[in-house]
Amino acid sequence: MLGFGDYLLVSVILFFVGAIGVIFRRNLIYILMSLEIMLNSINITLIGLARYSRDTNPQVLILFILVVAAVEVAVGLGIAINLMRVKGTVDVDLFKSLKG
Amino acid sequence: MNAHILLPEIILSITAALVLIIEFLTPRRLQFIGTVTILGILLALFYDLSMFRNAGIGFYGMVKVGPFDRMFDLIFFIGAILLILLSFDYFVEISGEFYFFLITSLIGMMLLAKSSDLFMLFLSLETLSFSLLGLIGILKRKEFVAEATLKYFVLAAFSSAFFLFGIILTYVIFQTTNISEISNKLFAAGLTGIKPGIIVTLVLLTVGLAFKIAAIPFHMWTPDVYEGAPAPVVAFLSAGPKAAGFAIILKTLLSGYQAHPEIWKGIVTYLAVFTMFWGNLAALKTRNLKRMLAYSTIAHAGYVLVAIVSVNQEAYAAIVFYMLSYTFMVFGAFAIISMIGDSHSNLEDYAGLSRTSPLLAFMMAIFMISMTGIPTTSGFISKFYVFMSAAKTNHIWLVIFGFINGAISAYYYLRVVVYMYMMDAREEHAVPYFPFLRSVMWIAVIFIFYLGLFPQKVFEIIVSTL
Amino acid sequence: MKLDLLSLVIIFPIIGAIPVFFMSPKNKKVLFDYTLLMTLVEFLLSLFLLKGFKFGLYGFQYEHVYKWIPSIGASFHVGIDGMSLILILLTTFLTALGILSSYNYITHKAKEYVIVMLLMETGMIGVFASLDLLLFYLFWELMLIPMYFLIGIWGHERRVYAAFKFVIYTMAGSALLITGILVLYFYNHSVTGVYTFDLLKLYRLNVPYDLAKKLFLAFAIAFAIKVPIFPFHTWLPDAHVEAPTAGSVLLAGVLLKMGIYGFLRFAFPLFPKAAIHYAPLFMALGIVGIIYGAFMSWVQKDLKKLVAYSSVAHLGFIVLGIFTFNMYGTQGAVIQMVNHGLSTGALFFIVGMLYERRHTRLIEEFGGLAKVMPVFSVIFGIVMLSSIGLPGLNGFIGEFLVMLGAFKASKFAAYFAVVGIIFAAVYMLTMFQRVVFLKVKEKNLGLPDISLREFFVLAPILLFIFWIGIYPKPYLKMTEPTSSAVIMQIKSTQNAEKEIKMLTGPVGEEISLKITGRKAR
Repeated sequence: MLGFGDYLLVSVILFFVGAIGVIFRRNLIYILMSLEIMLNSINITLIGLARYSRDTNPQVLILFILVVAAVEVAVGLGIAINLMRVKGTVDVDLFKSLKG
Repeated sequence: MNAHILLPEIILSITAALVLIIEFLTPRRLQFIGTVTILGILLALFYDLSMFRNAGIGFYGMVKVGPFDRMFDLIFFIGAILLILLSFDYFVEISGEFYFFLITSLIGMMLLAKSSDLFMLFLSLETLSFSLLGLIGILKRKEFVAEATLKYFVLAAFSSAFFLFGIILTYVIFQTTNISEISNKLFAAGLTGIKPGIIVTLVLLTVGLAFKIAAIPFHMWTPDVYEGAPAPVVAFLSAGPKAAGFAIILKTLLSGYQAHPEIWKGIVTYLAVFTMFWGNLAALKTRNLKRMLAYSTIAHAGYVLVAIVSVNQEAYAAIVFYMLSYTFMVFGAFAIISMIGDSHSNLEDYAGLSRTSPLLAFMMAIFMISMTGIPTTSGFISKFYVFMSAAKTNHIWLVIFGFINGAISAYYYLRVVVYMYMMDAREEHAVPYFPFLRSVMWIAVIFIFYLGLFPQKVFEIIVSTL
Repeated sequence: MKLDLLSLVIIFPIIGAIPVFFMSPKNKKVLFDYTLLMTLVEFLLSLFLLKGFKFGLYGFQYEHVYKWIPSIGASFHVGIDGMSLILILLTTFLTALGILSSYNYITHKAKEYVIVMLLMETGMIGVFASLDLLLFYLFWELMLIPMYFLIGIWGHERRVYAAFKFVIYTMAGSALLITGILVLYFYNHSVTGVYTFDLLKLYRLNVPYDLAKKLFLAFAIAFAIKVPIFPFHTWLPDAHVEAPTAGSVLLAGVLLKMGIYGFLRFAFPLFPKAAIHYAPLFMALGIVGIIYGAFMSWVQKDLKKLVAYSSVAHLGFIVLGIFTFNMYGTQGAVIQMVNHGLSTGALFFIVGMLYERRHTRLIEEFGGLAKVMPVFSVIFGIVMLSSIGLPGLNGFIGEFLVMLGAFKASKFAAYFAVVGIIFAAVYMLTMFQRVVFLKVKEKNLGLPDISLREFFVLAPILLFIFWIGIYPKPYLKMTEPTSSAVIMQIKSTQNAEKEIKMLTGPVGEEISLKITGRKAR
């Protein structure tokens, strides 16, 4: 039988998988996907919470987070397309005009 | 519902819709749309001020409005209006969406300062971040701007995820995201059994917040975004959203976790010290003025964090006063940077400015001196006020570090003055006359000296809102 | 709101600077004439202060409190006593002379120059007149920017470096000062329940020994950097050498005095016990400064650097004097502040005049000036002798009193100070010999003698050099209440009122008797 702790564990692991992806991935599309993983891993915690605490609030929060995640993807892809037009690549390592 | 307490936000939302419609009907009439926006903001400001003393809770406990939150509104409004004035001269041809994003970011900030629920805080934060992307990327065909937008986007989304995780963990621990309920539960139950969880939560929250205010080590985006984004937007970024960032810290750390400051104070103390030292030291070697101001804004975040560590009433007032005075300083400086030109923001481009346009050089010198924190300018009084709150709670070393940082920062701020007054230009360009940019510059100078010489009135107002 | 005379004196230079903004930068002569007029009016105003000043009174006169930031207990509280007055007079006097000396020296950005000078005058007077710690800090820091511009824009080759060094040093010191002020402020609140920066109220505070030691060090380091006391002095030669003449004069004449003034007005009365505790340390540093300054001056090839290092030595004397905590030492130090302002100021003017003629300051480039520029050489000689401390000239009075005080406080210190005086004579006379006597170098043959304008720069200083040297009583009398009040504040904690009674006698009378051989009225 799975407990809430297991949900939390999965969620934390996924969250850091996503975080590491954002930091180490070169391609902007992968970075976007990693960001999605981060947000959705949080949703897993909420699902577990909803499952075990018989509380409906987490489910509402999930809906909000889904919307935010969708917006994030839309904006992110928009930026990616713009970069593709301006520079012809979405490889973040090639963006060197601003040193950072 | 108690909807009327958010009347200013509602007015602004309507204005935002109006701006989109006008843009659709008669595209690219910059000054017209800008004026409409200003009128909308002024109307919102009017309602904000007329309800200044009214406190209330609305939207099922999601927002809580008091005079202190309206103080923050005031800073946001000032920033927005100054940005619109700057935009008139700076942008030649942009779509009216700029003003739409401006208003939505304004709404985001105002809701941030008023939300009494961590989840509401997150949503308004996202509203703010995505609108700012619209502002930063308004000249999207420029290479620098495209990259700056990308960097801001990735790091904003990244930090928001951390912040969100922190909120959800808070929910797991307390079964609520309401700030005052969290605070009550902490007071009632204490820390037994939940301390590790709270520490993890606070670390996640702090990571998210540190990104927003550009504290070390989450500052990486700042220099790049500052260098790449259009100057007026940068000024806005370091005034409004930064103040909003501190508003969140006040909400979460000082209100939510006020029962046990000892668990987050250590983190924030280190954050403050490293932020101010790193910001100032990194600024020493930069040759680009916009980049330098980016590091300086990091350092200023460090100073304000000092006030947060001291956890007292003065700290609240000091933060508001600091952000108010900082708003004028950055807008003044960036007004001049806009006049000289974004692509000419290397220090060498300022050489001999005192000869070609003495007035601009003089004003720039004042802004730099004010940022250094020399008395008679608001930069001194605001810094002094912040460190006073720290001294009150016996954080003597923080105070000493803070003022020593002032000495370090003198080096790079005054270097701008050196270039303007003590070096000769390779080639002399006349700076064109920009009426709106100049008006922003004058407003900034007047307020810098007003706040620097006669801060009493503003002190009184701020303290009365606590 | 009616403005009182003292506040008027403080803000008048800034008011005078406003019309300059609207004047044409092209016409240098008009700019300087106007500014000279303003500084003369300012000097006149400060003379009115002197006219209404009641001698021999303890406490502050012309005291005035305006509301400034009541919510944190800061006010525009100004007032002067004898020491402040004499330093304010010195300031207005030297500023006017500084403007007069700059007619030819300043070749570019004349408009900015006069604004900076006027702004600086306000800052300097403000420092000497404020009786509110925050106000004091405000003026103290405000001084930085004009001085920074003065060195950085109109200085010599390494001006930018020197200007930075000056600002960073001073600001690092101020960091400690303002922290100390804040700690004191909150300590005062914890004891009395009142938030105030008012110096006179803070005087009543009895700070516990441990805290007082820390605070005293915080204040003392800030002031020591400004003075500068030995290990903190490295900014001074750079700043002096690179600054334009008027900048050097004001730096030596007034800015350095702000440090000493800070000790006497703030650090000693607020933390008397701590001052006694640290006195041996600072006396030792003062002596090191005397010897070190003398040796460094001896080996300098650059005239201006020589004068700069001689400043370090002189300031060492003054530091020694104030830390003796007796009437002779303190009075001597205060009068020596004025003397140093006059004679070193004059020396900088003289070096500036030589520089204007030859565009070099190297000692070896000169020689035999006595033949080409006789009047100049005579004046130079008198000023140089006053700097050494020849009896009959002003330098003697100060040094003699300091020696007396040092002898009373610690014989050991006095011996070293004597050695310092001898060295001073050696390096000054050597320099003078090489510049003024010896064979005339060909390059120096055509040098014009002192012009009328230059004469009017130096003549007033000479007047005071003789006046203080021959009849110092009015000056000593002016500063006597201040000195005895400072000593009283310190000694009362030592439970030695008897000694004070013995020493607060009419020192001025005693001295003038010793020197002139007749009893002064």
